[in-house]
Amino acid sequence: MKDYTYTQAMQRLETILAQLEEGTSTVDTLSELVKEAADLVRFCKEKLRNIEEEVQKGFEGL
Amino acid sequence: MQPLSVLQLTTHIQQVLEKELEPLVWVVGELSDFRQAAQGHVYFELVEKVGNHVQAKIRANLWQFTYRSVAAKFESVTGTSLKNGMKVLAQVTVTYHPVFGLSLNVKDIDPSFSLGERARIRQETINRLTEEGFMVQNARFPLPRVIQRIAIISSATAAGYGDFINQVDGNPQGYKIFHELFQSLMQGNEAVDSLLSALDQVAEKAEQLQLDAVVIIRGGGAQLDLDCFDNYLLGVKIANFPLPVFTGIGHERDESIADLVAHTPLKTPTAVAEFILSSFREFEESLGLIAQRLDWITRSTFQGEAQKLQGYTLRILGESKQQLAREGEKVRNWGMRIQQAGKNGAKQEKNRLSQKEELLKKGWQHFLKRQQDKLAQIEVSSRQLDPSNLLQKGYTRTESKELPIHLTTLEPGDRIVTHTFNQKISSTINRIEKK
Repeated sequence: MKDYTYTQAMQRLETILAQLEEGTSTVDTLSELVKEAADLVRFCKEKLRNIEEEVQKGFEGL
Repeated sequence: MQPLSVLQLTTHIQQVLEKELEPLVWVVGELSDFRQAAQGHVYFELVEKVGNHVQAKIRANLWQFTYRSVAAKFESVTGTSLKNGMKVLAQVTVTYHPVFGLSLNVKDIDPSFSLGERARIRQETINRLTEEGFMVQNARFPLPRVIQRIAIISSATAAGYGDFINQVDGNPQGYKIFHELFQSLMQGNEAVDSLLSALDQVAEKAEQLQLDAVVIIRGGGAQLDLDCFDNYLLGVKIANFPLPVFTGIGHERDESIADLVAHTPLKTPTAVAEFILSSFREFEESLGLIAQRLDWITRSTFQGEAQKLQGYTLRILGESKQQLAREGEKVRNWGMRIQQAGKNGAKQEKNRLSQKEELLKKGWQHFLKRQQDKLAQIEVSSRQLDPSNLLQKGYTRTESKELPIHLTTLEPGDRIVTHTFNQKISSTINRIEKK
C-alpha cells in the first residue's frame, strides 16, 4: 500500500469497485476487499491533503 | 568695328538683360552649395541635374531679411529647413553685375512646391520599399513576451533620450531593463550616415549583448529636419535589421518611412518606454492570472478527487452491503432448502419405517403361521410316530440289557424282553443268524 502512487491507488479502488459491482468477489474476500478499499480511500485522502498543503505552501507569497 | 571696353560690354549685357527679361521669374531648381554668411545672407547655387550629371547651374543669393521670412514660412509649412539637394520653386530676379557677374536674387520660395516634391519622393520611396517587400520585413519578428534588453539609437543630449531613460529606469514596479546607447546624429545632412553606422554597431553587438530590440528615439526640440527618416537606405537597413526596431521619432505629421518599415512605430520616446514597460506589466499580470488558474485548477482537482473518493466509498459500502445481503439471502435460502430437505427426509424415513414395520408385522405373522404349521405337522408326524400305534398293529419292540436291541450287541444266551401292545415277553436267545 505504501508503495502505491495516488493513481495506482485510484486504479486499485476502481478494480475493487468493479469486482464488487460484478459480484465476482466471494464472501471470504469481501471483507478483505472492503478493508483494502477503506485503506485505499484513507491513503488517497491523506495524499490529497499532503499535496494540497504543499500546493498552498507553493502559492504563498504569490 | 570699334572694340568695346569691358565695362562697355558688361554694361551692354546688363542693359540687354534688364530690357529682355521679366523683372520677376519663377524657376525650379535644386539647392546646392547652400551656405549662410556671417552677416546672415545666404548663398547657394540652383542646379538642374539629370541623374548626377549637372545640366545647368546658376549662383543665387537670399538677403538676410528675405531669408528670415522665407525660411520661417518654409519651415512652418514643410517642417524642414532649406538645405542642399532640396528641389525648390523660387521667385527670382536675374541680376548682372559687371564685377560679380550673373546671379539670381531670390525674392520668395514656394514651400508647397517643396512639400509636394517631398511627398512625391516619399511616395516613390514607399512604393519602392513596398515592391521590394521591405515594408513588413522587420515586423515579421515575433516580440519576446518581455522586452528586457535594448539598444538605444539616439543623441545623448536629446531631451527625448533623457525622458526615455528616466521613464525606463524609474519605473515604479522596479523592472530592470538593460539598455545601451549607440550615439547618432538625429537630424541634419549627416544624420542618415550616422544612423546607418549606429545600426551597424548595434547589429555587431546584438548577440553579445543578447538584445531583444533596438529603439530609435529623438524628441523634444524642433520638429525640423526629419527628412533623414524618410531615407530609402535607412528604410532598407531598418527593414533588414536582425532585431525588431521600435521608433519614437516624435513627429506630428505623417509617419516617416522609418516608422513604416519599423517593427513597432510609436509617436514619442515616452511611448516607446511605455510600450516596453507594458510588456513587463502584461507578463506579470499574466503570471498572476496563471497562478490564479493554477490555484483554481488544483482546488477543483482536489474537490473532484475528494468527491470521487467519497463516491467510491459510498459505492463500495453499498456494494458490499448488497453483496452481504445477497449472500445472506443465499444462506437463508439454503437454510430453508436444507430444512425442507430435512423435513422431507424425515417423512420419507417415517414412511420407510412404517413400511418396514408393516413388512415386519407381515413377516412375523408369516413366521408364526409357518411355525404353527410346522408344529401341526410335527404333531401329526409325532402322532404317526407314536409306537403304541405300531404296537396296536402288531409290531413289537425288543430290548436287551435295558437298551433297544439295535443299540446292543447280542449273543446267544442273552435275555431279551419283547414289548407288545399289551404284553411283556421275556425270552432267551438260542441262535443268532445274520440277515
